[in-house]
Amino acid sequence: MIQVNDQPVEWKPDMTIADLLKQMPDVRFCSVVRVNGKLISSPRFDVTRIPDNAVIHLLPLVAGG
Amino acid sequence: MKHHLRVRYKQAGRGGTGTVLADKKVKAVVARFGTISMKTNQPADLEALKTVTKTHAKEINTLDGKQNRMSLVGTTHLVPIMNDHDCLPTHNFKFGSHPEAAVIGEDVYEHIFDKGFDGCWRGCAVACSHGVKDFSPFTGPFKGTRVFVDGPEYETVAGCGSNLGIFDAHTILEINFYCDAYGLDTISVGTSIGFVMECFENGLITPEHTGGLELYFGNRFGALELIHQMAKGEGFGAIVGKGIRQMKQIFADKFKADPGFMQDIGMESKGLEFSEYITKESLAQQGGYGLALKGPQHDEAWLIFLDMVHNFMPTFENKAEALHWFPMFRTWFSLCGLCKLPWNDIVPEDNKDTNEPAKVMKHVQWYADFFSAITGKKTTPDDLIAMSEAVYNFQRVFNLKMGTGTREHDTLPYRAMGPVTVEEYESRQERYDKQLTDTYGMDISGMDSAARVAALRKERESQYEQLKDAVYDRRGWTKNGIPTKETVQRLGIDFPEVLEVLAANGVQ
Repeated sequence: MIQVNDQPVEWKPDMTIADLLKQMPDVRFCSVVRVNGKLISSPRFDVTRIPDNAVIHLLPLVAGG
Repeated sequence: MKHHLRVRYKQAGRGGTGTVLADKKVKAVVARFGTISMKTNQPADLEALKTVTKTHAKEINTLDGKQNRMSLVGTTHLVPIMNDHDCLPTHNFKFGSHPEAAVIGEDVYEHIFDKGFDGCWRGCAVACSHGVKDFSPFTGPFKGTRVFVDGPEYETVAGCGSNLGIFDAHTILEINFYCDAYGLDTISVGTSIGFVMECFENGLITPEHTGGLELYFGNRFGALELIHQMAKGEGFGAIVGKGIRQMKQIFADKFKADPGFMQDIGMESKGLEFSEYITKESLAQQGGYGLALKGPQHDEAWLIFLDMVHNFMPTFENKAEALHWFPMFRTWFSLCGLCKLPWNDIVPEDNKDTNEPAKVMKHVQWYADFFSAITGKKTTPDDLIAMSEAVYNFQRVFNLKMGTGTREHDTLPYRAMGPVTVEEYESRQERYDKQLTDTYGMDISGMDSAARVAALRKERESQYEQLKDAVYDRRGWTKNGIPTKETVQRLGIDFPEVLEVLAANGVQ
């Protein structure tokens, strides 16, 4: 099980961030997530695997300086 | 009150205010003020002010730790994000990423920042302004002493770090410290030195011109020496301190450097150096920089992700609408002397469910509520935009009066639009080739890289001109970028002198 925006989500082996976002509602502005505190940007969503028990926050908007 | 004993070095160097004051022989402005409270501005409705303040502060306290963590890392979280999206200026905006960028991002600065010094002022709920105490510079007049460094934040890290090929968190701290101590804007300093370094590496300037300094990318001692010289008005640094626009002229006149190449790589517009974002893949942000009244500064519009990553504004009309609304709302922050970070750097959890998530309208409404509570005048989000629009257009007319403020002044160096050199093109060849073939329908099989650079340039420059047309139309301006008579009348700024300036520029 992982926590995504404070909600429990079922974890699967080899699950990537891209896989996770496909099952989340309306993530069109999500280009960055925090996985256990570490920033992961959209170019790496496909290749970043989520560890079990991860705590994830979806950053809703990148607004710049 | 021990915490009041340490001096913070906030400065407003961006845009040349220091030069303006120096020209007026003003050495310093000293302000004394007592305790600030919610009653200080004599709000019309104190209870309403308390309510919206409490609501906004509670949200910031709840969400910042889950989102950008600015209370811990300031804006240094943007370094890895921009690097990953190819938007972090590297080597004078030539590239948008670098393998060493991680060592100058939030992972490092979180551990360097002093935990005890947060916030531009003690009432701020975001408190993203961090500092480093007991820092010991290794150059300059403070060498070997212990000083307090106020920062760095993202712009300084990118401008004085990656853009100069300096991937060393402590050197960036030292540059930050001396810029503050000398009263220099870190953005203009970083972008100017980046230009100098590229000129040096291309042989446009040599040690003979630089007083012996080997100003290649990554030369941290060279960069610091230039800053010390700038402050003293001595040596080659005195020339660098004039900024890129004047450097281009001086290098061409005195050093016989190629003016065309310098125009392409000199990251300035309207005489102001670019702030620290790569815009090659975002036409909307090219407009955000090129059409900004005071020059390429992101406090009018920061649209890179909405445009480039989310494809939220695919048409010229979409982009023009964004380049109307966002500059107007951001201008409103300046009108009121407010920071924009609480608006869209901390985003409500239900933002995605709103009609206009890109604008974070829930917060815009709160700002209208703040304004209503202070002034007693019932104010809507549209009213905020209207306030700005009148000021914004008046500023444009002022620019016009001062000899700028027309289409020709809304130009950009080509590096802001696309790859200037074959080296840049080939570093992202797959991306650019795909655009030429898929977007523009070209057969590029017989074209070498130089020909592809030229073909892409022709298309991108054309796109930028089309964007100008669309934005001018949306703003109620002529094709030459001048507010029409109808526009100034609609905004209530049709004063005789305004109409005279318009008439003098062919707008009747």
